[in-house]
Amino acid sequence: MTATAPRPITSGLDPRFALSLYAHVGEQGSWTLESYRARGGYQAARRALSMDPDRIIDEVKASGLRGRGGAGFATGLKWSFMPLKDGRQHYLLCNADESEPGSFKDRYLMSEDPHQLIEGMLIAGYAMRATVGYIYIRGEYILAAERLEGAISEARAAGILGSKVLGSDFDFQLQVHRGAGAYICGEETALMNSLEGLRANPRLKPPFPAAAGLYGLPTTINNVETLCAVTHILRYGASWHAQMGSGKSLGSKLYQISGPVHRPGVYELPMGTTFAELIEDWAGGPTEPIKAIIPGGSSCPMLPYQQDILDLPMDYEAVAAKGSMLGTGGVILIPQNYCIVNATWNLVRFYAHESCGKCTPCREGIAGWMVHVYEKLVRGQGRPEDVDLILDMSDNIAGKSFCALADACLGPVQSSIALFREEYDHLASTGQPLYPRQSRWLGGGAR
Amino acid sequence: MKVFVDDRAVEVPAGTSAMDALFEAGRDVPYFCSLPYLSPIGACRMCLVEAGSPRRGQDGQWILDDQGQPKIFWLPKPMASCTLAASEGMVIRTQTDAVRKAQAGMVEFTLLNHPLDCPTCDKGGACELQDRSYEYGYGASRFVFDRRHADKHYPLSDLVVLDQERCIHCKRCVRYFEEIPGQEMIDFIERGVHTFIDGYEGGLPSAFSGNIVDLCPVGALLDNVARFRGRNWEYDHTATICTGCSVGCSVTVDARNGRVERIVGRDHPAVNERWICDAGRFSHALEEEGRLTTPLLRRGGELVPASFDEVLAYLTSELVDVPPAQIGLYSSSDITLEEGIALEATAQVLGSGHVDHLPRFSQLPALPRPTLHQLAQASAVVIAGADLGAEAPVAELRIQEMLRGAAPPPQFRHGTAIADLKLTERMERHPERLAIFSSAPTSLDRSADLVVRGDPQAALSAIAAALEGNAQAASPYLSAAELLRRPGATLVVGSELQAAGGLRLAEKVARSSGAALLALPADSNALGLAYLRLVPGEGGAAYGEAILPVALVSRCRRLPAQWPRLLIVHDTTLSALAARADVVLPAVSGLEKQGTLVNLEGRLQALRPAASEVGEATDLIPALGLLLQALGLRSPVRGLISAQRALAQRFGARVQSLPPEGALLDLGEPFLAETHLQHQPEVGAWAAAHLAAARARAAANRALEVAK
Repeated sequence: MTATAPRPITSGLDPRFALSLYAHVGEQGSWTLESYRARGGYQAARRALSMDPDRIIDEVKASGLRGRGGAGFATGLKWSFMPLKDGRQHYLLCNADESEPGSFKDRYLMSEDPHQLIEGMLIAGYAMRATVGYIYIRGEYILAAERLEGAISEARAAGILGSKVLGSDFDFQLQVHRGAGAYICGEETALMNSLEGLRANPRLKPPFPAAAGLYGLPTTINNVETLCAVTHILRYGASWHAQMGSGKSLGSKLYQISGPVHRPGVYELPMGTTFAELIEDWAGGPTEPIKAIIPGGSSCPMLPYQQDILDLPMDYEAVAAKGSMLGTGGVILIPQNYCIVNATWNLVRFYAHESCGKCTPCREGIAGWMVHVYEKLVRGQGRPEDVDLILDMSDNIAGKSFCALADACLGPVQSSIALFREEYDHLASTGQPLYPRQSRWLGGGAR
Repeated sequence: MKVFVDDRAVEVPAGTSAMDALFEAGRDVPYFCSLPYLSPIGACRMCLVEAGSPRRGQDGQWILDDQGQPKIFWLPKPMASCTLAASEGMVIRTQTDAVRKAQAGMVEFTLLNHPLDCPTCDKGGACELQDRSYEYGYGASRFVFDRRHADKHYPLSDLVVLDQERCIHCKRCVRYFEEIPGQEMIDFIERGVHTFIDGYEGGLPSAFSGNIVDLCPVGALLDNVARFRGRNWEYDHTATICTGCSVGCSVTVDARNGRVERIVGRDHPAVNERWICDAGRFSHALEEEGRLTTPLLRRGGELVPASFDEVLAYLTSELVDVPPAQIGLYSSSDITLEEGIALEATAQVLGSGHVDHLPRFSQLPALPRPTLHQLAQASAVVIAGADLGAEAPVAELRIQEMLRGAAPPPQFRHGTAIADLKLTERMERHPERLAIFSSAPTSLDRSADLVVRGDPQAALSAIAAALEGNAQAASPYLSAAELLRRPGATLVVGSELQAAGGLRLAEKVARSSGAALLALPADSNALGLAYLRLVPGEGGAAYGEAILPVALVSRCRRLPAQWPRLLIVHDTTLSALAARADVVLPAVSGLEKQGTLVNLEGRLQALRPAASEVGEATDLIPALGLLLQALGLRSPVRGLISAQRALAQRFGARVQSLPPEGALLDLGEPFLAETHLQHQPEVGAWAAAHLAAARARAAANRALEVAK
């Protein structure tokens, strides 16, 4: 260590930055144990198994890793909520139900480098004294599920999973559970219900999963990317992780970009990289004029596509300061020429379809009403007062639903009206969109 | 702890929900999903309030604001008060504009897809959604789209029909089946706005399915027997007690134009909470079939309608040469204490020892009787020779409560806790706390870890041996003995054991293990009647034991072994016994009587007559009076008032002024004798008959609907 702390890495262009999570995505055979071992796989697990479990939690705390599923809760702190020494069965769940529009990072982690996740879960399980882990994977991720299953059997055969993992005294069983296509299963308590074979409705909190989770026993649930990051933290050390990013948002992160850019996709960049760098330097810039940017997956409020936003570092605090969220880092660009009401309807329709039906504001407000008001507007049958109706309805839903799904729908709704009110008003009063492009959903009488 | 609700302060115990705290303070919030005895789930989002709490700093002292008062940290969002735990110093606001708008907005959402067919809805006038919309809603809707259309006549079973359009997804019925009888049979299907309730193809195979009709906050779940039979404001509501079995559930009997149309459960926290069994709920269907409304007299070999005067004249002439001491008086054990004491007085006036009631106890254990509340809190229960489903169905629910460790919920000024935070969905059940020994399958078998088929008396002997330390190795009897030794354990014995005369053995087991003993009475008032002198006296014959010149038999289903030469039957219908009688006197059913019953825990409860049209039917007291009049005799107990006076003289003045919840009174020493008549409860057969009648009536109801 030099006397002055080195400047943190906050750009993918920084020569000190090297890929970790996605380093081998796209390589032929990268999903096999042979390939994984050849590049030093399971060294982190060996190191972890020789450590005191509490020290692993300390190391994860020191790394500054925050949950990559969207909420950004400190991972080490979450782990320390587990009643570590109570002697009961603990469970480790991996939330691989990546279903939010705009998010598609976990898919390739699992299909291209599944051993990375298995190793991360092994370490996390050992740290939290959880001897059983489940990967709850989105049902549509067929290749990822197959590769994971394959990797788990390879690992089991090689003594990496099962009893006496890697020659230690630790037992760890890992199972893949495929979901049946419900966004709500990404909500941690609904996921646990679904895993137990119950209807996927969110549960009341408290008790939180660390106190009473799967089958009423202490449970920790982490995102795929979080658990993969743990592998690298244990391999390269907490300080390696903490040198990337700035402030309270540290480490390497998978950013996704979709919409009209030259190279949409997943990019691994250090936290704190600017939107401009992602969009221009990595994704090759927009292919047409853009008016709005959704910074982190469809539930995050839209931001205007303008310089001060583009210059923002993509970290949790900077985006929150502008009234949105970093979420999963799934950046969506909305073209200037696209009707914003139509674009928002697309998202509202998603949330209406995915509402679980448990609580009134989401079931009736979003799924039963708002989606119809949007459709009416988009079909040119709206009334001028419908825009205020949507806002008032949003106010009656906001913060009043059982889980975050309804609020997630309100993110794009409220922000799009705040930013593009004139588009709404124009459509509502004239029946014609200000910008011509519409979704394919209007064709052929599709509802 | 102290909680502040708007401008009021209340003291509530720790663990109270914000909802109960604010109701305790006399405030109100609307709610649809919460319900006493069910877990709070926060689904309807109606009960939103603003809430905040003071916090303690590092030093353990309250953090203070500028005025030196504990600073209130407000929760950022409106909170559902049902799932929010009140805490020391919490401030709850129910009257702010934000709260009003949130509640009104939620009413609007709830009503979006509700069909508003109140004019044709059976729940109209007694609907929580109607009331709450009126109190808290906007009064108008801004919804301009077509409502969701779904099946409005979806039969969940023969007896319960679902209107899918009216359902507001409160999940009470789903939670009820899982939590109360512990039989998961329905759940939500589909999701979002298309969510609806459905179950198995086999209907609702539970003996307690009708309760979901009572708890539905809207008219989505309806009792198919009562469907379209009347509006809520047309019914005469009578708060009374079900006389189906010895539990003595509180019910409300609703009659219209003199006909009982439905029976609904009534909250009694100590007895049935708010649940009743289907047999009791639908009992009115059978009780009203083939009713006798005038006396019948045998003339020329045929029973023909007659007036009371004709009956009196007939009896007067027939009884001339009969010695009164040779007249037998027999009754079923579902008569009231008033009827019982009249029977006792009549026997004394006649000087007859030929008196009995059946089915009855041949002995009563000389141990304190556990209450249903204690049963629900028992540490373990061992059942020997009893099928609760056929003998005391709602006691089964209290045992289910015991098995999931749901201690009786706290009581407040507004009643039972509406949102008891101790209750959760899918609480862990403890089948290891229940053991059953019986020769036939019982309804609780599914909930017990230890079920042994065989002679319960032999089993009890083996348990007694195990308690004395004579058991070799591990056996179910040793396990049961260990269960009984737990402090707070209860032994429940029923008909099968009592019929075999095993009550003394049960008493011995209870004494040596320290367990409480609950001996199930065989009929709704079998326990109360044991404290009256209603067993054969000196030289007296039990029912059917001797050929008597004359016998009056009330409501007995059993045929006597020896028939009297002149048989007077007092019954509601022309039963097999009545069909062979010389005189039949019309009787009122348990729904139509006034009087007092003693339930299995020894609780005296008052019966009130429902507003049904029963012609000249009477209870037993006038029937006995008629007999005495024919003999020219006169009893000191000639009516309800004199009967109650006699009861007060016997048992103390409190029996005359029972509080609404009844009273556990010490009735002194029982009068009992051995009986050769098997102690055989009729509840099981009774229930089957009632349900069959109810199904027929429901089917007739549906046919009527189609015809319209």
